[in-house]
Amino acid sequence: MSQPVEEAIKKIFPELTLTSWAQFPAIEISRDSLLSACEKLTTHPDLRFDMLVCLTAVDRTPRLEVLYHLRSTTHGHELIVKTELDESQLEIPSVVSFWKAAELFELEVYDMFGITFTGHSDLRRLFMPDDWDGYPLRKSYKASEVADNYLKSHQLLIN
Amino acid sequence: MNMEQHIESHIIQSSDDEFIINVGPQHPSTHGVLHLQLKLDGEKIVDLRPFLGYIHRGIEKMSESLTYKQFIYLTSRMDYLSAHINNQACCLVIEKGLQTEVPERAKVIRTLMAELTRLASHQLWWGSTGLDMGAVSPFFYAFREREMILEIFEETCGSRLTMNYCVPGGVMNDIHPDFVRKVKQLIKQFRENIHEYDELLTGNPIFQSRTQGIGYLSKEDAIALSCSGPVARASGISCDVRKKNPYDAYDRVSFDEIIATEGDCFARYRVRLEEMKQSMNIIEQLIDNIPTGEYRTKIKGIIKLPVGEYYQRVETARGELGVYLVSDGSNKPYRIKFRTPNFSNLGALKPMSLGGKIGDLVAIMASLDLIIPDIDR
Repeated sequence: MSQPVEEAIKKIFPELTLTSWAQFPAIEISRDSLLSACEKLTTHPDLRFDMLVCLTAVDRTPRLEVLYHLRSTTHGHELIVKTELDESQLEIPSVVSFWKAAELFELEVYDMFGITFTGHSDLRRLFMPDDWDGYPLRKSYKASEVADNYLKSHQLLIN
Repeated sequence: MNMEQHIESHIIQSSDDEFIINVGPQHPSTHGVLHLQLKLDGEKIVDLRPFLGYIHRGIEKMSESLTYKQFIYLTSRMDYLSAHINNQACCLVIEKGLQTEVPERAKVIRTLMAELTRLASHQLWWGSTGLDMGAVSPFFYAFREREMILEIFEETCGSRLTMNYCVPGGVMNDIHPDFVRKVKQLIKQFRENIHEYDELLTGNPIFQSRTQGIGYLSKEDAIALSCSGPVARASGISCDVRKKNPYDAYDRVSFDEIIATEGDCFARYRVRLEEMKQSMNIIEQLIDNIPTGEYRTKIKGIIKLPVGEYYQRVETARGELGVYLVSDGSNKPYRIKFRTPNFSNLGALKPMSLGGKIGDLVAIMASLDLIIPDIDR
C-alpha cells in the first residue's frame, strides 16, 4: 500500500504548506522553483505524478493563478500544484519536458490568458485568430469592443 | 495581416522533397471542422500540426456571465453526442457546492439516460467508422437501433440530441409511462442484432487490414498525453471514472471495465464495441429497479454557491470530463473550466500517425472518435 499523498508531500517538500483545492490536496510553488519541483513530483518513487490531467488558470486580478492538476497512475493519488503570477510579468517555464500533454494545454492557457510559457517550441494562438487583440478569459477583457474592432479592421462588419 | 501572409506564417518550413498538405477544415473524415497540416515525404507523414478554433464559441467565457442554472445548457453543445453526460457533470458540481442530496429515483434515471447516451454515441461512431473506410451499409444498421434510443429521449426529454434533461437537484420531469417498456424492447432488439456488427465490420478482412497494427499508441505515451476513455483503455490504462470515482447510481451496478493492450485502431474499435455490451448490462440492472419517489428535490430559484472551488468528473462516451468551478459567492460562476476528453485525446493524433501513411490517417481519426466542438468549446 502506498502512503497517503499528503504525508509524502510533507516529507518531500517540508518548506511548503499543504492546502486544498476542491477535494484535492494542493501546494503552492513559486515560479522559480517550478521546474525543480516538477522534477521531484515526476521522479520521486512515493509521488510519480506521470499524468497532467489538466492545466488551467484563474484570473484573480491583479494576480493570476496557474493550476496543474496531476495524477499518478501507479499510486492513484492526485495533487493540485498552484503557481501565482503577477499581472505585470506573465511568464512561466514550460513543463512540456515532464508531461507531453502540456504541449496543447499550454497553448490554450496562452491563448486565453496571455501567459507566456518559456521553452515551448510552438507557442501560438490556438483558438483565436493570430492578430486577435487581448486574451478572452482575463477579467479585464471587453468582449464586444474587441470583436467590433477586429471586424472593423478586417472590413467584415455588416451594417 | 492579409490572407496570404496568414497562410504563409502557418506553413511548416519544408525542404524540396517534402511537401505540405492541408486536411480540413472541411474534410468528411474529420467529422467537423478540424484543420490538420501534414508534412509528407512521399506518402509518409513526417509532421502534423492541428489548427483549432473554427468552432470556438467561448463556452467558458459565456458561462461566467450566465447563472448556475443557465450555463448547463451550453455544455450540451460541447460534446453533443454525450450531451446528457455533460449536463450531468455540471449538475453534480452544483449539487456538491450546495451539498444537496439527489433523490434515489433521479440518480437511477440519470444513470440510465447516461448509458443510453453512451450507446447512441458509440452506435454513431461505429456507423461512421465504417463510412470512413468505405463501407456504407454499417451506417444504416447503426441508425436502426440509434433511432429507437432517440425516440426514447424524445418522449421523455422532449428533444433528441441536446436533451437538457438534467437540472440541479434531479431531472427536469418524470419518465414517460412507456419508458421502461421501450428501453426493454431496445435492449432485446440490440442484443439480437449486435452479432451483425461483428459480421459487417469486425470480421471483415479489409477492415481488419486497415486497422490492425495501425495508429499504435503506447501506454507511456497515452499517460504522458493524458488520454482518457476508450483511447486510453485500448492502450492498457485502467481509467474508467465510473469505476474509480462512482457518481449517481454507478456504485450499485456491476460491469466490466474493458481494457485492451494492443493500442492500435482495432483495439480501440473492440473496446468501444464491448463497452456497448457493458452499457446494456448496466441498463438491464437498473431498468427494473427504478426507485419510486421524487424525481427532483426543490432547489431555490437563485443558486449561490459558497466561496470556494468545486470539482466533478464523469465518464462521457469519449473519456474523462472534469468540471473545475471557482465560485466567488455570487449567482454566477467566477471561472469554470471544462477538462474535455477530446482536447487531450487530440494530442495522441501525432504519435499515432507519424511514420505512417496518409491513408491511415482516416482510420486513426475514426478510431479516436474526435468531436471537434468538444475540443474548441
